[in-house]
Amino acid sequence: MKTSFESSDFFQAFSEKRSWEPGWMADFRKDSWNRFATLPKTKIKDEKWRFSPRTRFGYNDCDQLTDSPKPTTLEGKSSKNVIFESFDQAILDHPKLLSILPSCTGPKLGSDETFLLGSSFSESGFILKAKEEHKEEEAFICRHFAPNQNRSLFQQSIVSIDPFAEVTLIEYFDSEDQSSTGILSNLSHIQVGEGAKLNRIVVQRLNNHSTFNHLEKIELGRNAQFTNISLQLGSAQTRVESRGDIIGDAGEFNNYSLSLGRNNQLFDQRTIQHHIAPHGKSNLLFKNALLENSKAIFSGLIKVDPKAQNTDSFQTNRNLLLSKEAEASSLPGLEILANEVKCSHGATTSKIDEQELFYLQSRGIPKSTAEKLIVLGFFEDIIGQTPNPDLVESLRDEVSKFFHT
Amino acid sequence: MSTLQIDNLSASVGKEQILNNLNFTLPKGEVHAIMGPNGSGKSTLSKVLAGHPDYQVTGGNACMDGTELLGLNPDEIARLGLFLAFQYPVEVPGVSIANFIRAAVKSRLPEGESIKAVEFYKELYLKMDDLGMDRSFTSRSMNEGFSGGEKKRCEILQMSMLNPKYCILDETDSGLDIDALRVVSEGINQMKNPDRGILVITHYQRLLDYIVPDKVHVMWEGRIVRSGDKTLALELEDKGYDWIKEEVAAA
Amino acid sequence: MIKPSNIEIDREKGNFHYPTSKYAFDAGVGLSEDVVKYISGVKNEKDWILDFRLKAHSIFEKKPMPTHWASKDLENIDFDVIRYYLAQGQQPSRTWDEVPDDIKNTFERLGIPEQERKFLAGVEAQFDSEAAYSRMKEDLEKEGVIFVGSTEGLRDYPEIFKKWFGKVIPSSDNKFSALNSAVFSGGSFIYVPPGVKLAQPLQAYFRINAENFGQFERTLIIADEGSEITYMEGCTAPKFETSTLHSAVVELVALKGAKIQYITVQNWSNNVFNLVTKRAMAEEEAEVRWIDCNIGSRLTMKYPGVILRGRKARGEVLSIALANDGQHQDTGAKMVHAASETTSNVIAKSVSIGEGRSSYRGLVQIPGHLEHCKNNTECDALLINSDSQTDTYPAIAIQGSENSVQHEASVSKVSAEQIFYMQQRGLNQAEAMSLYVNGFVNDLIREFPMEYSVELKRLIDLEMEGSVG
Repeated sequence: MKTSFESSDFFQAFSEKRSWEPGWMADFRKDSWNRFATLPKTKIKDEKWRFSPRTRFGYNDCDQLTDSPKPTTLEGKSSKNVIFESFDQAILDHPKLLSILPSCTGPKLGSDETFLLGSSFSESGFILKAKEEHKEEEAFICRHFAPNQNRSLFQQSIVSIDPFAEVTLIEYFDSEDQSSTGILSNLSHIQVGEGAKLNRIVVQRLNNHSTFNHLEKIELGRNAQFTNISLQLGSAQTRVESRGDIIGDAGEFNNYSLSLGRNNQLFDQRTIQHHIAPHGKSNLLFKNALLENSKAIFSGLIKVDPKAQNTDSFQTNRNLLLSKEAEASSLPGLEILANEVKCSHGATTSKIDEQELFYLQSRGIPKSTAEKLIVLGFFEDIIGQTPNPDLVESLRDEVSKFFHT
Repeated sequence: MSTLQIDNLSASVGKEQILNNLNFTLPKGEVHAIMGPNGSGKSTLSKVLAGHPDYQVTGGNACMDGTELLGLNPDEIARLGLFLAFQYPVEVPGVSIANFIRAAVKSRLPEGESIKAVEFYKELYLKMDDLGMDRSFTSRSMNEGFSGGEKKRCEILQMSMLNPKYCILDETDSGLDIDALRVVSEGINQMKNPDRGILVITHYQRLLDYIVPDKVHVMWEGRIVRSGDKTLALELEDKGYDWIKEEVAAA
Repeated sequence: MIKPSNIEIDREKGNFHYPTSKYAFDAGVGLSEDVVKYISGVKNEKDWILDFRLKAHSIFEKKPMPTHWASKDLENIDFDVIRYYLAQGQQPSRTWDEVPDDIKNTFERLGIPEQERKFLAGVEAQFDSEAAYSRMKEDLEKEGVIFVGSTEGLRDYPEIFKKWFGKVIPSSDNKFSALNSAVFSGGSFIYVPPGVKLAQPLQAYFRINAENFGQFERTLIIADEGSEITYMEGCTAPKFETSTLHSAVVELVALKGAKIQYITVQNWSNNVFNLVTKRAMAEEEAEVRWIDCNIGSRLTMKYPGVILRGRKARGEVLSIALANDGQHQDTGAKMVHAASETTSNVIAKSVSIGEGRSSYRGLVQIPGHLEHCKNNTECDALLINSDSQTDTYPAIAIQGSENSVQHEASVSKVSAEQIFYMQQRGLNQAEAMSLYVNGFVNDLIREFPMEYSVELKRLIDLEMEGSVG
């Protein structure tokens, strides 16, 4: 079935709506859309979608753009050392920062369609640029909103941290309302320069009718450090594609994620830790606790190029199944082309520990509360990675709130 | 000729010069001790003599019974008869002690000759009994999950099975409790023999209560700065190393 | 540096060439319906078998290569230059002098007796498409054990074998199982009656002797209730100038309480494409164990599997792979849990030497209506040289709160300190490396019968020679 995104009239109408944009942006959109329109038809067997009920991520039911997108709201001000602006504002104020867009490739982990649609139809998102050696104590906060009324919203963001700068960024993804369906597709392009540090926290709380597509590509320079902590709580289905490229010597990439699955929720996660330069470190931990009919897919790859000697890279996927129907599929992969490496991956899927459960119940705690406590404990080593202690508490609350709603 | 003789040996690791014109002679039949504070170059000396590839020799000679050791591969040096008991014995997963020692013994046999298994095990068990090692030990992987004492015993066991001409014991006392120290020392003492030279490298004098050296040398800044008999060790125990450092600085 | 080359045809070097014209039955080169009919005709097969072959042939023609996940090297197989059937003609006129030196040296170093060498080099007895069986057969018959070739099995004992033939691995399972189903010949068909426990392992040597001759043996082992059998296959192939294809199908059926152990030691020369489908069905309380050692070949793709169909069934795969220059060992295991309280265990160790590449691919499936199923998977890879490569691609799909799986994989290399330590004891670098590799796979090698583990250790030593320096 064709979506209206494929119609050239549709694209034309969209371009007219955005006629205020400079020509280079219009060209970029046009080019992206042409590439989208000529994408080969979906292959039946695609390793990048293995185990995924792919149709759940289609745009058929939401093939109109939202008329009045609720823009990303930003908390934290631009200063002489930091540019922090909405996507639309940045098109006018900082075209140079956006000029990298045509060379952005995205994570390339299966969602070419979403990536190209995002490049064509982005109407929201933000730009965060920290100048060299700037250290910001306060976190920058963005709030993104998924559309309602069976509409789609595409957005993209650029985060660029110059050498030796240090920044914390928190992104919340919510739905405009709790009852209607929408698709939010987000592209993040993240560059962390030499010796710079970026901590990023993602909290996803879409309503349970909506779809979330979250595509990110991170590039780490020499001695750069990036820590990602992702809480996937809401949505009907979420597809995460996350690529971390360590392109400078001794870059360090930490990618932590937790998902709490209830009712029919689906979390489809695809990751790659790509070591291009030597002496890099990467550590990935994805934990999924699955209740009721929920389902998680984790597909992760550690790739170590021949030149990336002395790499330490770890990848762990842990799934906790709390019901008979819950399902976890795990595809942990290693492709190692250098020999001076320390790499390992582990994947476990298990049920709740009966002893633990019994112990809690024997203290008078009802089963559902006991389960909740155990799941919160299961997530603790991810939440605990958060740098700021106040934030740890609020993230615990976030998970807790989602447990029996 | 029957000596391990080191003349003006200088060596570095990376850009750092560690041995500086070191002179030292160990005759067969004697036990010598090299003592010195941490970082004086004691362990480097043992590694350089054993041919460790990370160290660059920048000058001097090291002759064992007239054969130059410097420049040879570690295994050639070992087969010529130099044994190094490691301060930190390395784990070799999956390779049992028995198989490891067999392979080492076999490497010393002429081409085509093989080990007589019955005799080999007889000798191995006998020596294990002496060292108070349980026979089931032979099937354990080399140094994997061993306690400090077990590792050092295993080093001494190898030393005694391989029948070397010269032995260097690098901080063999480190990580040993008093009982293990006694057993290990006894093992070393049994190796004493008119055809064998033994060099004990240690930081503390306590090992020398059990292994009485013919000579004691003090190492500082990559060379031997003082030599004497066993009373020198007691003096060091009593006064520490600072007076030696001061003497060297003054000179 | 040896890189795999494309298959070259008609490369008439002559010095190691089989005069294939001396075979009594030769289906010629290339594959067509006529070739399939020819093979079936030579074997005097019943119509149902010919139908089975023809159906498989049409599946083979339609199925694409699995290159969306597997090595693109598969595209270098030219099905039109392969001989699909050759059988028992006269002895080939090859002499010992014609055997290439490196093969002779291998035999020398392995300490294989003179007679045996000639046999292995293909100078003497020939068992191309039809396997030969030992005198052991008579003793077995007394116990009611059937141990025959595929042709005999289907012809003489259809009531036993027809029920399971092609059922564990349907022709349509993959392109190569379809190919095998169309042109199979040779292999072993074994039936062990209820309660019979074979004390000695059954053995068969499968070998490739003619150039460009694909070998498509078919093995079916049925262990009836409470019986026990160990089967061993050793595969060696003489070296040829051009590439060869080996594509076997092995089906095992372990009925209630039966135990099957299937041991493979494979040492193909490095121009062989070795694409094998192996799968077992385990009924209630049955146990199936695949022990698999892969050395040599240009590309091996082999993922022994167990379908755990009955309660408390148990499946195990123990696998060792050594990939040297120009070789790709793509191996793994499949464990499909289809009943409660089933358990499976996979231990895979691979060593990549020089530019060799080893890959692990695994599948573990436990659906939600089952309870108390367990899987444990460990895969460890050792890299020897800086050009060596390893990949791990497991797939684990688990449902239900009463099941558990655990998967661990690691990649390591020999450290310089370990080598120095061994050298200080007098071993040269190659010996040290060899000892290390033997240690790495030691716990698996112990699972092999004595004579195989000795040969394996020697083979590893041979592979390690020249890997350092």
